[in-house]
Amino acid sequence: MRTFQVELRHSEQSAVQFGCRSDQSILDAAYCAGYLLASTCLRGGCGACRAKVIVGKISELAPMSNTHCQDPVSGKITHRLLCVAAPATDVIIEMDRPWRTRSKNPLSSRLPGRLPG
Amino acid sequence: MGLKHRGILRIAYVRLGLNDNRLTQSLNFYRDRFGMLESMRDSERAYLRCWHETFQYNLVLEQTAENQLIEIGFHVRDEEGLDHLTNKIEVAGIQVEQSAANEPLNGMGRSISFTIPGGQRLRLFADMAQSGYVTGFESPDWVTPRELRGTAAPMFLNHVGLTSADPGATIDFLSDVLGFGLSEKIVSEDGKRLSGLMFRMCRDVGGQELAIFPGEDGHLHHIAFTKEDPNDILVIGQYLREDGINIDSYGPTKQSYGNTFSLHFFDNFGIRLELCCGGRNIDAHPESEPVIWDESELSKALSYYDADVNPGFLDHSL
Amino acid sequence: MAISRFSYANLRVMDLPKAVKHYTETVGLRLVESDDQRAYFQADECQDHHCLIVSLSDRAGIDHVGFKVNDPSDLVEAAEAAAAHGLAVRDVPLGEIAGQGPGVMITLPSEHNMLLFYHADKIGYAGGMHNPTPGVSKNKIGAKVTHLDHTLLSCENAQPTVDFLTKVFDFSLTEKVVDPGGNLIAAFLTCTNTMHDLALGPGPNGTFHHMAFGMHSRGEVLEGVDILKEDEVPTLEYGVSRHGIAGVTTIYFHDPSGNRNEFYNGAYQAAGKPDLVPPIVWDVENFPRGAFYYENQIPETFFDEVT
Repeated sequence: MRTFQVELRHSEQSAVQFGCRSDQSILDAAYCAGYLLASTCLRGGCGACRAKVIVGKISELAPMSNTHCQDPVSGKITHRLLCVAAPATDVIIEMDRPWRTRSKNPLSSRLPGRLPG
Repeated sequence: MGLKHRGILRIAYVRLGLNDNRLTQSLNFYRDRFGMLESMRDSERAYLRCWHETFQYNLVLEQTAENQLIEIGFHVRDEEGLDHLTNKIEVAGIQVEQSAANEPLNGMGRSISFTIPGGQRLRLFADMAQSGYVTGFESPDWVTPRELRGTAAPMFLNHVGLTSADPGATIDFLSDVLGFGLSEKIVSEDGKRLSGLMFRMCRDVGGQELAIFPGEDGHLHHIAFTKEDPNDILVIGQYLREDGINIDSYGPTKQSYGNTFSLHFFDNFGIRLELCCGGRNIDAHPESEPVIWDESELSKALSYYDADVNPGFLDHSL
Repeated sequence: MAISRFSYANLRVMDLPKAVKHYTETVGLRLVESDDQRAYFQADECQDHHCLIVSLSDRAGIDHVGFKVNDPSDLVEAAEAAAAHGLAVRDVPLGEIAGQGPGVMITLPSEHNMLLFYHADKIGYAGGMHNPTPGVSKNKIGAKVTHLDHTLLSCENAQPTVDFLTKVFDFSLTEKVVDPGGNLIAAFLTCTNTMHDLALGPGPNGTFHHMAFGMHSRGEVLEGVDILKEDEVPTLEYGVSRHGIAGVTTIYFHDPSGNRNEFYNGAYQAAGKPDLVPPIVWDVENFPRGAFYYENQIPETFFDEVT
């Protein structure tokens, strides 16, 4: 098992980077790094977390529904679903939807004198 | 052209005659403590409905010299269906009485009435006035109205239990002539039909609109109303006792017969009422098969939580 | 005579063994039969052969929905009526789908396939047909679902499908959601006396939003949530909730291919004739309360993501 670098991009946001193991979903690694990606089913079916891999390769942890991966006209695979995608190399990914950030220490950040983080 | 459901649509109401001056006692019970809505009054009658109901009444109370079950009303899909059923009932050798709109009850189109082999009177009609939903029709809050909380607040009329000297004949009439399905039955050791649950409606708390029990012809065994959930029924049991209402011996139970969770209790005229939820899942299809109970398993069928059936439960209550 | 029940959904899944494990051990259905391409399931309180078929595919979603008619001649009548309406119709011969007789497949204006059939083989209630023990056995694995209750399918414009189902197949419209221009956004339709057997919501044509399994009590819905959590099944953002529309207790979750499921309890009763009772109308402003009564908001992914 290895850890690869993942970079997420979206037209309305600054790019972010984090590490992701080769057996871990990119959605899960993003969560651990403090980024909430749009998601619903977490099972490769609903398409909420669809994104384009623009550099590098991913592996499938579970099958992805072609309804959300294929171009409807050409039938070519254009998108990947990050809830069941792990990096196979370092990757750069263009997200369909923007992400939100989350506090990693929501309780201790409330102590007086601590910076939010 | 197209598919169409035909015949009887739904159980509509029960009409009771009570020896009750100005209906004071019965309204005190059914409106104020049981928690039905008063839709309408005329000189002789009070018309009550359940809170989730849009049609004008599920229970009609009127003052009579003796307490009695006057009739049970069923809503038929259309006038054509009413004529079709009239013909079938007459062909079966049963006399049918025709009534004009708003006779004898307000808010109803023309109707027919007749006596079934078990001796009870049914009335069929194709049109009933609607009060509308108490919640309104626009973005409603589907919760028990505040003024009914603390009462039984039934959602719908669910079914009516009748006694019959020849349950098999009553079951046959209801199935063959009126088009009811049979969801469950109880049979004696020698194969005689002792009881049947008859349905037309396919719904979440389903499987019966008429329950036929053995006993004297012409009597009412109980009237059942729908609740959502066993927890509601347990809590309401406490409200009823707080109001001094008699719970039938043996309290709340799973009724395997019909597959409901049920509580039986009495109004202040001794009429047995039931609150039920759950219900057998069944569809109105010729190939649907009934559940069959042996008489020897009666306590499991009627009163699953108790060691034996409360013998009083087998008696009619009106 | 008419359609007597919403009988089953045929879903597509991408991993058959995982789907079988989910629908038996988590949802609590009986596995009736299976091969390497399809599996058939039924809930405890139903006597027909199946309420769910899952078919192996390269994508999630709905293959077709099955509705049972209560007269064999209905199949001919329905096929003619659908064809007269300009809809594609094909015969489905005996043997194509296990456990049921021949049928007719109709493609609705929403591009969903609806199979009508008359005969279903009987497997009986889980407790048997003779002196059955009520309720659910203590040995049962999974949630206590009693039956498949309804499905919500997505399409771009629900109106033509609603018109067809109400005018030709005798469905009643119980509730609807409309935009300020009066256009239909979502519709809740029944062919029995429950609040809905089939609902239509916004989304691409031919897609699947969810199917709901009924339960006998709100408490069993809550128990079901515990089972989902223990089995690490993803649930929607709002754990257990209540729908303002229909006023029922609910939780959404997903099968291993991302098809949305629901556990559901409610006792709403419909009159059973189209246009007899006017539909409840939800406006857009109140729709969040209609969808999620407690939270009063709709997650952005709720209608966007369908399979």
